[in-house]
Amino acid sequence: MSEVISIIAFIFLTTLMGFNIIIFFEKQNLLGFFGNAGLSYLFGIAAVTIEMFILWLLKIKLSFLVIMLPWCMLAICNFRSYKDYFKAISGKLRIPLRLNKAEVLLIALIIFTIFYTFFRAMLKPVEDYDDVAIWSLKGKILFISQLLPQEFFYTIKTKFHGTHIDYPLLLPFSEVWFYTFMNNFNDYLVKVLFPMNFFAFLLVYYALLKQAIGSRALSLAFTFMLISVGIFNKYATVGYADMQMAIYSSVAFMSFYILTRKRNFSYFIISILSSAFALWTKNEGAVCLVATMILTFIFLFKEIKQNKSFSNHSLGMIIALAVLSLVFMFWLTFKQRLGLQNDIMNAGNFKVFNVRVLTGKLLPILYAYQEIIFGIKYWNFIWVGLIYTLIRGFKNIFSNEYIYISLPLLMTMAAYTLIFIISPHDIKWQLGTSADRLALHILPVAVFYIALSVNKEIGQS
Amino acid sequence: MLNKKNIYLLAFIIWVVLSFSFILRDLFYKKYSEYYKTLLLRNAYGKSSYIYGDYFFEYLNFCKKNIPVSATYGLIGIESLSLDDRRAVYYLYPRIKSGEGDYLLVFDQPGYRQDGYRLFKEIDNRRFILERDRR
Repeated sequence: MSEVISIIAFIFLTTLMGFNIIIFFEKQNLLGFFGNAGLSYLFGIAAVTIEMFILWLLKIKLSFLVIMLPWCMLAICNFRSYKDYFKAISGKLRIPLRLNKAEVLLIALIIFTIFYTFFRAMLKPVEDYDDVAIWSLKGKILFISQLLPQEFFYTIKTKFHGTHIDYPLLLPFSEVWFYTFMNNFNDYLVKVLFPMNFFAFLLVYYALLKQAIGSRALSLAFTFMLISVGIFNKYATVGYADMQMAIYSSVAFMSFYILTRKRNFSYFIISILSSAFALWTKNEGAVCLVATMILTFIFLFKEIKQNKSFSNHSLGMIIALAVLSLVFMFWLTFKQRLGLQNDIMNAGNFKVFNVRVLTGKLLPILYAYQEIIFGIKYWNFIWVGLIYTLIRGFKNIFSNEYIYISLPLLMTMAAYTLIFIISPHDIKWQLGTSADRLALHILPVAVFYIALSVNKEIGQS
Repeated sequence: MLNKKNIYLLAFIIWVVLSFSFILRDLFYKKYSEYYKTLLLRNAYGKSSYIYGDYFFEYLNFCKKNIPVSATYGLIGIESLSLDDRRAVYYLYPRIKSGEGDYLLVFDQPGYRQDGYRLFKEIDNRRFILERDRR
């Protein structure tokens, strides 16, 4: 029982941390109470790990009080905003909500899926391959040995084969944050992080979908469709970073899309913060970050062309782009200075890139893609649905309406395909171990794209 | 009538049916229900034991209990970079795996011996620990 209370306190505190960030730009309650709660948790867990990383680099011991201190100060500064926020939403929160039968059924389906996911995740300790070989191993080393950065990276590089020294540390530090909060190493309870990310994300996903398409029933239906995809659900129960990668990159792209429709700058802030958190989750986050930057350039270019002048928001976006570039440069420089090069993937891979390599690898790649597309058992018929949607609305893919969601989807797919092509690994092994996970990263955006298209068609009919 | 809305509704119903049929198939055809039931009935130690394999987990705990936390060890009888190898490395940390460490953890290799090492502790003749001979 005390463990359950501790976990609830952990979730509440982490959510409160994130709320202290989003309150700066989410004063209009755009995502609703539950959407903001989900976003607060997702931003809280990412922000606290960045804080811990900085403290760690500064060689400050990671105690609970030290970690909490900046957040307490921030909470005091934000106290007035809290009052304003809750005053603003107090009139809007209506419980019980007026739901029709279909919506009640959809909510029941979603709740069942959430419980089933938590059940499966909490039944087992940390035990899957990448979990014990990479992510949780690093978390355990950081928490138990409290090694300083140089020692940690040296130990990882020399004593643990294949733990990928260059991987970002969001997940290991979120486990350290959990252990620090519990004041104990516990690789059973720490599993709660994974379904919790999943749960927080589905609140945000629903809220963003509702913002984009307006219909509650349709948003609930597509949220259920996403979380019931076998692979997506499975990754919420194991200790891999791919679920979090999918979460931050899709929040980044979906928010950006809504920014272009609603012209509300808050969505842009959600988008760039999410893309920065994606970079902090996995190396593939760089693709998300670069894609967000490209989208911002396109958006700014169109805006300036249309208005023939800089608005305050355009200026804000340029500043944000500069900050994002600096963050990216800092991360790359940091990795380079500490010699955190990927043992397999690096710039040298491009040297062996030629037509023969390309053609030799293309066939297995296409074969793996068709396995995913028709892998109904794991993906239901989501990819068939996406292809149908893309073919049916072919003319609109790059229209003003869809470009900001189709482009990141295509850019990510192209970037991942390029990674497969230049990878020095045996292509069949590479695809066997990572094709599914890379498809997982774009899954929420793919479902979002289908939802937009279906909503439009139903609206027209 | 088959208008667009009804077609999408039908697709959604098929989606739900498929989703639940996959869950039911896992639970009853693939017998995950028995797996879940077994895990539910066990305590934390028992769950790890079941997942790692009782035979292997008993040995890992034996090693954890008998070799000091600052020691290095080599693994004999466990394929390098296999899931068992990864689990052992994770579970035994802060003891660190090193080619030929202070100890050799011999799993499922009856009678295995190596020059420079002597028998330290054993569960049975298939699972034991060799210690570097310092004489």
